Amino acid sequence: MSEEKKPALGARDNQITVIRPKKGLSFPNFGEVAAYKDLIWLFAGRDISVKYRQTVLGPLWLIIMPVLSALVSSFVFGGIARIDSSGLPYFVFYFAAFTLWSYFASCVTSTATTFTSNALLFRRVWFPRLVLPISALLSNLFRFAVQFLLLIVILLIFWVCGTDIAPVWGMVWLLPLLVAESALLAMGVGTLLSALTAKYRDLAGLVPIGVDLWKYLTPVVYTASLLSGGVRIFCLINPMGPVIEAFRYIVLGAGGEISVWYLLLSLAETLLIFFLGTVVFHRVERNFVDTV
Amino acid sequence: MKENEMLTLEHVSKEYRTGRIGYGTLKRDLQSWWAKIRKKEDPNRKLTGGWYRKDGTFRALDDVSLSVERGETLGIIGRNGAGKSTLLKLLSRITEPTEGTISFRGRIASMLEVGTGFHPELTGRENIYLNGAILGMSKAEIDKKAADIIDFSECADFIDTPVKRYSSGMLVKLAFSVAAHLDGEILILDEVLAVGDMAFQRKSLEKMLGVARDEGRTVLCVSHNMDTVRSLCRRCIVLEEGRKIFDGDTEEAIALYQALCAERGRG
Repeated sequence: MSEEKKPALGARDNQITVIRPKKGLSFPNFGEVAAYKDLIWLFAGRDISVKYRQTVLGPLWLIIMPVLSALVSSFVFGGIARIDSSGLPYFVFYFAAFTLWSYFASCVTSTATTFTSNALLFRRVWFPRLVLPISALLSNLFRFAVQFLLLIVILLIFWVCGTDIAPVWGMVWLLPLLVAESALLAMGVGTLLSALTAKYRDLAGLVPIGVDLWKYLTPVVYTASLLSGGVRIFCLINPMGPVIEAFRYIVLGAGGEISVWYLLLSLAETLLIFFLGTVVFHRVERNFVDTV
Repeated sequence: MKENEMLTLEHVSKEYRTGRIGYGTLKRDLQSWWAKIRKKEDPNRKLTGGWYRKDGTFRALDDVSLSVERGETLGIIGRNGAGKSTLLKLLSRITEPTEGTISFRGRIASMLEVGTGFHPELTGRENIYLNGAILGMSKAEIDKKAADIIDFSECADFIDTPVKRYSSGMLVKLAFSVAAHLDGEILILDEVLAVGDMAFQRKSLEKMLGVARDEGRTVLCVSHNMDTVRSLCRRCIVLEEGRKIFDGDTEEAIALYQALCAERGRG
């Protein structure tokens, strides 16, 4: 290659891109995705800012929604069904688990329709499609952060009022890892679903119902120690099960457990689903526009 | 790839299936898949036989080879359905070729369908950033050009207003300005010069001429407007039914294209 390049354009001149038809399955090019990091942030920022424009309460919704959900659940599961909340007020017991769960759930639902809801954009411009699921993880992470701060405030209020809440300080380092695992799992499940909804549109309507169902198979409104035998094992083989249990245990000092083996199993499942999801997603992204 | 080549296509084809793709329901897809595994005839294909041609495929682009050098402005002309849009889609990576290889240097900045990705709730300025990034610019690059883009768009007074309140003319001008300031080594123009009023069209054309002539970039231009093609391109290819039937001087290419159009008019 010669060096006599136009100064303004020379920088990328040597970078040759080759496009040829690919056969079978392949892994997406994460280097290419990283080159679009600015776009990832812009999409994430758009998601956050657009949502609350022209609403009266604006970002207050970030606080109102989980509190309402926790109040309703406290009434139904704590008040009427009287589920044992390990000696904690049910409101706190639920809120801690729900904070992480709602992060996972919102990542899955917003990723599951990546192809169908962006079909118009995809038909006109190319960019690595994985940019969208990743930016969904980030914009939801912002909401998670707000809700986590809210959780801390709620814990402080309960603590001041005399409730015995003792976070497991020695394990706090595990919390970001649990959040990261939830994000990876959500992306895996979401990309897998988005590949399916691209082809079978009707599945899109089933996603929220499926996620809701999944919530009840996961120890969010109850804790795994209330279960026994096969049901308990089933609940903990579910990759989100041990994650939620550990999260609540660390934050509240009760209402869950840390089982290393189940956590490792969950991590293995997460990586497998993430791998599968991104490969299938990549397969669909290559020719999706020909089928819409 | 040779040293001076910016873009090469080697025997590129794109095949589409005619009729329906898939059967739309999971049950039928599973039936077809199960039949394929047992090496039996696809029950759904038999049922829907009328929708398929003999082999059920259609070549939108058929064995096209092409080489474009640095700084060249190539016109691509042809009748409707000749494969122009398919070619641009392949180049801008929106879809993959069925056969053949495409290689290019640097980045391809595509001005296909100006204004995609504009979000109505965001302001003009926010949309410049979003749109620029969608088209492949980094935030730093857009920072440097934002002032030029706003100036060129003639929308400076409204730049911090959500674009849902823009007139359609303003929207198109803003979108074009973003695309016109793209930084790719190879630039694709698809009929985009026809935006805005006459004054803005002239301004856009001049901008494009400047890009092609003075900045030494490689430009591919698709248009049905022969005046645009004449003023921008020295070399042209003519596509017909997915094949490249001519590659050379613009005037000859235009004459051939006009003959093709006249022939269809008669037939």
